[in-house]
Amino acid sequence: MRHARVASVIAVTACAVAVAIAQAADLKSPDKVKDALQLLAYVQADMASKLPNKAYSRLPHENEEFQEAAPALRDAIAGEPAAFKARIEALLGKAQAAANDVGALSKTNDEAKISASVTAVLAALKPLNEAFPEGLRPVLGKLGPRPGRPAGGPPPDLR
Amino acid sequence: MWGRRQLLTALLIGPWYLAACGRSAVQRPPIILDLLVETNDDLLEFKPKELSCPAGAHVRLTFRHTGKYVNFQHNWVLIRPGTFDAVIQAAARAGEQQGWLPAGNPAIIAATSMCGRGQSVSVEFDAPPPGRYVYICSTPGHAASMWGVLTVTPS
Repeated sequence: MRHARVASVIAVTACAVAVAIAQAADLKSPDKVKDALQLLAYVQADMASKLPNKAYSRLPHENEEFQEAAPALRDAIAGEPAAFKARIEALLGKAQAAANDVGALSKTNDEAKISASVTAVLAALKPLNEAFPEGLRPVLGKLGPRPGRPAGGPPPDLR
Repeated sequence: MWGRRQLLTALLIGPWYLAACGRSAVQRPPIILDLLVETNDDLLEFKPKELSCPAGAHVRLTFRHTGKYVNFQHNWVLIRPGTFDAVIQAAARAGEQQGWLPAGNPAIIAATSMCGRGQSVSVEFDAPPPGRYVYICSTPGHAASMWGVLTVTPS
């Protein structure tokens, strides 16, 4: 009896995930989603770029940018089914909370805590990106352009 | 002493020669060119990524920040060939107070001031000699993707 209940819960969950994936594969504004995910990934990478030089005073500003970028994703999925939006909202909310922690912890100047908080934003972005089709996902943790474009500034002959 | 024939020749040809010199000395009016560059909405990219102008043209460039969400601070900076890495480092050293722009840096040909979401800034400059010149946003980290090329053609 108990096994049957567990099995039915698993089946329902699997169905919900399958439906969500199917919905994600058929997004109404895939370009907007792609850009919004890229923005969030960029700001997280920019946060991380402040760590080697211990430029912690810039992190509250980076958090502001992260919070500003979040509505871009909300707007991009505005036309999607409510269940999908709720799932994305939960994941996005976690990422925003993690970014807020970076802003708050930056004032402590505690290198280990700050570094962990920036990594936590990266970790929060992973499931958020995985909720969308692979072709829309940015390269996490990397400053630079979208996939398919040359990275790291102009080519050697123009540097 | 000039002979009579040489004097006559000078009198006949002189005015024509001087007139010809005068014509060639008259400078053509400089080409004035208006260019528009925008951000690719909120993304860290210029649009367009390629511009062109003739050498010596007087360029009036407008840079428009079309971002809707994130208030990234951007500028448009035209730099001399081979100076990308040096300018990026100098910009980071210059700091935010200086608009991430190293003042008086000879590698910088022209630069707008920083602008935020929804704003426009402009700069005027005379196009450098023919060649390919990189333009960037000098906010730290942005130039990894926020760059383009101004091709200056022979005038």
